[in-house]
Amino acid sequence: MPGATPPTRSAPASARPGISRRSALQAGLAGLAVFGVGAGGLAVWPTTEADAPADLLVLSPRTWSVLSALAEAVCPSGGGWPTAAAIGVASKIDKLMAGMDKDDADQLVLALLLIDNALAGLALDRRIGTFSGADLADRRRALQAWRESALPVRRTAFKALRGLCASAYFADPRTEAMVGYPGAPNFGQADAPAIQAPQSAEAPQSPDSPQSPDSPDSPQSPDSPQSPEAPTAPADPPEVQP
Amino acid sequence: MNERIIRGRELSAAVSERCDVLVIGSGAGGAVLAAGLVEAGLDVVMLEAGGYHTRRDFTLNEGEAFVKLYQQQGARATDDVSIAILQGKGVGGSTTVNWSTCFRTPPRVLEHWARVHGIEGLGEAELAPHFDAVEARLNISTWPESQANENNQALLRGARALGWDAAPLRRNVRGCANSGFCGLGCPVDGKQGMHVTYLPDAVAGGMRLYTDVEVQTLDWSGGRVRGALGRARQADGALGPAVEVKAKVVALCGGAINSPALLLRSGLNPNGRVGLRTFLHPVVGMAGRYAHRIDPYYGAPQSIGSHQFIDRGSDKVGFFLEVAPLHPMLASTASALIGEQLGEFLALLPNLSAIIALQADGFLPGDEGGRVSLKPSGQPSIVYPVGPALQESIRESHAVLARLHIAAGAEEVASLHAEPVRLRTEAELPKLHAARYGAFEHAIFTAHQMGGCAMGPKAESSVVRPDHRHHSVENLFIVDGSVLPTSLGVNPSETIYGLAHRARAFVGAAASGA
Repeated sequence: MPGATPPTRSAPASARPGISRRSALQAGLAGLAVFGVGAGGLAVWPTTEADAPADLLVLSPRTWSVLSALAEAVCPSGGGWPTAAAIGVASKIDKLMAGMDKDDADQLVLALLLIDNALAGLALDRRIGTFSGADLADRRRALQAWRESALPVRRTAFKALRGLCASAYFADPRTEAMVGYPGAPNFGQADAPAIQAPQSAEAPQSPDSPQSPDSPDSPQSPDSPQSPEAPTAPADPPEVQP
Repeated sequence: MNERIIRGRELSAAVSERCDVLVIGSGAGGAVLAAGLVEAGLDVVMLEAGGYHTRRDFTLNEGEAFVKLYQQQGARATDDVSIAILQGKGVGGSTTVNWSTCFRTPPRVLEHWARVHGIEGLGEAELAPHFDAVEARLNISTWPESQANENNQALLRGARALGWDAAPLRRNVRGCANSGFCGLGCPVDGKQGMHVTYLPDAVAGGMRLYTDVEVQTLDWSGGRVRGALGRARQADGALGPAVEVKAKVVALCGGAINSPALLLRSGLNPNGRVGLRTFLHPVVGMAGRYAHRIDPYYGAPQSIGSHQFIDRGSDKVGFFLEVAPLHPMLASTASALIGEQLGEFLALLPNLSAIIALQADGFLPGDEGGRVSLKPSGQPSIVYPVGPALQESIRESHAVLARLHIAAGAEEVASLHAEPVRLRTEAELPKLHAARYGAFEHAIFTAHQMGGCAMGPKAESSVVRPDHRHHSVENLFIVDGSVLPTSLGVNPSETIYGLAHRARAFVGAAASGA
């Protein structure tokens, strides 16, 4: 590119205007300072302790117990639904956090401390005591307040934590029966060969293994009525041509 | 062929490579480009940050699939978490997990790029041979209306009852089992993603593909790039051996969000335009509850679409209509409900249909979309304001979605607000008009990421030229969805395939002449 002026190296940009998760949560932490809350403030209202597993990767026993209390409030309970504790939601999220960018994991920990904070709860939600020490109905009321809060930090924290809890819960096959989700049929892919040979552009090849599930009772022709138990995977998949 | 697929997580010592072209990223852009370069006789190395997964690894469990196959374990979002961002990661990029819908770039979009952004050489006729080629390779063809699942039939039925446009979609599949698990990795390799098409072609032709290698910075100075420096991510999650690649030409193909982030990490942003004009096709949806089973998790995820509302006049954001497959985890994240209400919603899943409206952002004057910058860790930060024009189109979208469901026979329609707006007849539409719209008011998703390294003729207002060459680093090209100057108003994968096919000649010439 003759004549072009060589660029000069710019400093990597990291801080930008706008409501970022970091700035939002930092604002929330500044709010804690206003309440005069540090570790001592948190200790005013002892959090209900739970039996944190010994092999936590990111969370402390304390933040694990806050997350457990939060998961119980987010996920359905009673009426046949397995509890969040039975699904192990908090521990699943701890494992997920170990694979997160450290910035994101740190912010989630801060959000848990913020949501559990007793003095902030008293001032903003008129809640006596910590979030994790409150009964289930009060915890759900607190979460609704966070969901609809005028404070961006609270809406962000609610959405992030709610999403993680709901995802961990509903991705677990033990909730499928209550959802009425029949799950995936067995396509035999676990035993299928990996890509063995490149498919040429001139003569594309079909996959090496059959396209239909191995299980004879699960696939159905798409022309048949759909059944609650079976997907519409055709036994003889259509080879669609333009 | 597998000896040329090197899993970074198994590397025990540093690697140093030399080649003609280094391709960073194995998705829709990188794969199509690399296959052409190899075919032209060039020596190509590809670095992919994610893992190499084949159908043997696709367990079809949402929790496992999202962690393995999506950016940030499926948790990528705007910084304030108001918009969830579904973006693929791993060999094949988003093409491994997308819902297979293919469109050529609409002529109205190409005309807009020429008229407003001054881009020449991207006319409908000029792109046609490139689309012809990728359509043949990926078997892109119309999915028969008779094969559309009930989720899609709801959209079709509703649109026809209202006299609105709706038509079968085209998909890149061959021997599709109509299973409905496209988003979790196709278990039968029916979907013609990059991982079963162009990438095997390229590897068979001699390309070395390194997986699990995160490129940390480009090695550049004085208007030339020498290569890139990366680290292999080990099985335990720690960063392992260094991977250094020196190349005559570098093609950055990390996709919108990751490509601008790498340029920023590399300090390569001479005009301050990197990361700007990031577009997301913000998606809103409404759930319709039907008396009969929908089974919205089975069958080709998307097979019917409507562009009835893509052109709403020059002062409004247009939108297009498709459906979203609903597996339990994804459905649960679409709602803001908690506790028993959440359970009641999920228990309806077999009878729910989810029609979605995708907002065509970036076309109105002043619509700059969002911005990608960097977090302190060097990972991308994404800010996307939902301004008044988008709020208006989202409000109108809700009315359209509700009318579609009602016309299709839904017993009840519910929005994805924190407190869902519920209606059964059109007479109740004023309830929707009275609701609030925007960030945090209701669920907003995106599975389409575009822009951030915009293409254009002027160095002061864009990042790459219309031939994908960086404006000020002569042997650096960007070939992915980040170069799009606006969103598309259609699913973006085929546009990226086509542009990458066209870019083969430019990158190849630069490498041959370098």
